[in-house]
Amino acid sequence: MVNKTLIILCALIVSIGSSQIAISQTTVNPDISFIGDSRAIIENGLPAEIGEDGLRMEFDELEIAATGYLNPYSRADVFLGIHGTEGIEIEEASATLLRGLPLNLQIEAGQYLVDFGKINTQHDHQWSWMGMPLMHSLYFGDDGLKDVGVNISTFRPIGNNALTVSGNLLQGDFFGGHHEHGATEPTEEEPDFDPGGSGRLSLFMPFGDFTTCEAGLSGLYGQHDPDENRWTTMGGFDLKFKWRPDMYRSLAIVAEGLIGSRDVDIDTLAGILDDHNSSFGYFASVDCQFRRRYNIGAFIDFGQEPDISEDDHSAFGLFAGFSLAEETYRIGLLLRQDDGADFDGPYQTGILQFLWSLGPHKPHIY
Amino acid sequence: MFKIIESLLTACLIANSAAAEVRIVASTSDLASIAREIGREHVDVDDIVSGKSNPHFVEVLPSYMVKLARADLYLSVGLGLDYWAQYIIDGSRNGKLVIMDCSDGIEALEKPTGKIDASMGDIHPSGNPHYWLDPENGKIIAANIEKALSRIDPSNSEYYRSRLLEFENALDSRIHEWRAKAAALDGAEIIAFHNSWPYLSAAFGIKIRGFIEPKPGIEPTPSHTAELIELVRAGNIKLIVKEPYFSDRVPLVIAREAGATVVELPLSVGGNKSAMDYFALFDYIVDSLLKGLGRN
Repeated sequence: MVNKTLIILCALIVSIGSSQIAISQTTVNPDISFIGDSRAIIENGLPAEIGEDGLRMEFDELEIAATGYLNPYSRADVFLGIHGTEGIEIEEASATLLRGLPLNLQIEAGQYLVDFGKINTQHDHQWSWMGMPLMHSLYFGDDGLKDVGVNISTFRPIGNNALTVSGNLLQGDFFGGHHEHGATEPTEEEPDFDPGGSGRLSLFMPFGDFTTCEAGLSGLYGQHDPDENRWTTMGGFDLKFKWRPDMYRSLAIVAEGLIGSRDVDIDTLAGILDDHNSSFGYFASVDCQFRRRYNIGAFIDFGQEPDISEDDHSAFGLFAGFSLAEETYRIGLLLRQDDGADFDGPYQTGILQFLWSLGPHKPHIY
Repeated sequence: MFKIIESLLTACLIANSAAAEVRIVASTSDLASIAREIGREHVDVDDIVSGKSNPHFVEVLPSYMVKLARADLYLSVGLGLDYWAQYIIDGSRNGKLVIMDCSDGIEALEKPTGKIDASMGDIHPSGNPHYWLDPENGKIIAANIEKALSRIDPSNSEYYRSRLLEFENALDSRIHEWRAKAAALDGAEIIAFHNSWPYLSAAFGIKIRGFIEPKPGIEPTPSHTAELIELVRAGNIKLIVKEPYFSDRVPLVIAREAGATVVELPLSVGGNKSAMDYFALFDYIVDSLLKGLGRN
């Protein structure tokens, strides 16, 4: 019942000001893009439970994006992901009321990447480090925090700075640690409505003509185990700094961290002695662009298991890239080492990525 | 105490009466400059892309959305140049914003025919978008801006119309001067970095023999650079022009190997400190070309 209510609410929000949806979609085509990401991967020292060492080729993802206006007030964005032989997955499918609402509000409804931090709102082909940071994947799975819901945000200029406040009412089906790309849910049953909520406060600050900075604080509350009525509370911070004096050079520093606390089942055999577990994680990256088409950088990554914080996982790595022309064709190289409490020792991964984008020009969003 | 409050109120009233009536944001500094000419004290004008930045590639920053959130009018270049502007407009959430495409009424050059795809480089299907570089088109831009201003601020429409006439007359008179000076440029052959100059070359009779980019938006390659060196030598081409935001590395190699001169030519207002308005931009361009070709 509550689930139906949410669906009806989403539909209503989208339909406000969108009464000509059918007409606009038959007269104007959306922008359609295909983004292909194939990889040659070599691994060494891989723990047996993850896989075997060796070289393999993998078509990581074909992303299909269709975006466009529904009418003068709203737009829709659809991103479908095809991961190898795992089938088609809806990465995002949402409609946003852009303008005309009071208090500078925008309302997005559908399935989307939730703005819990900055990195979570991006698709993985946008990252030189090529994968979801550990802190997110341990809590939410390899796709990050993605759910059906409604996002309401407002935007307030403060001098030259931009303050954005955003809140999400979510279906609550987002805790999926170790959930891999495209993997189906463990049950065929219709998921219950286990509402979750999140919010983000961010401030964007330009410093002169070339330097910008954005800092954000996020919070989230949701039920990770509805059967046992167990809840998770999370908080996070994010920071992005960018210096871009011209089109040939730039330096971007991204840092995010989160802390989480959740109800857990006491299991003395597994070493869980308290009915609450607190964990944290962080990620930081430095990316330097030079001679317009080249970039080089490094990252560090750390996350603790949400249920058992002693089970931690860490990684660090180096990356480099070359773009033939803007982002239409890019070759990336990643070398990373992972280690964790569950592994016998560290293991190394090297990835050569071939990334291409077929479709209309898209601007760079900060 | 009462006097302090009174003087504060008076200061606020003075500030309000002096405040501009129409807040304008323009995609480029050229449109902003013309808007200042038409609106003068009745407008407050800002821009997104400075004259030293590449208008083709703009990162969508929230600070641009802040500018638009407060604006009444957005001036767009159109013809596909500022495709990024729609994201800034959407992000601003400004439901009252009037958007004027300043290419309205422009006769676009180099409009491609037949099948267009990315193998041709970063091509603009609606035609070359650097139309403000023909000063005759400055009058069309100004007329578009006057139309938008009169719509937003009808109480001052007479003023905007009179300013448009003054601008057109001033521009006509300067166009005569520039053409007279640029007569020495007629038929001059140059190499350009990017295909930014078809309107300028049509206005002043310059011939662009080649581009440092092998195709629009594509970085120079060694083989193409070698071909250009041969072209410059064989054609005895004396001048290579580059926009302020492009690297001078390849132009300097060609100039050194083939005995030419490199001139940094602003294609927008503010691209050089001597080109701080639309009139000064053409003053500077014409003088730089004459100097670069040794015809001054």
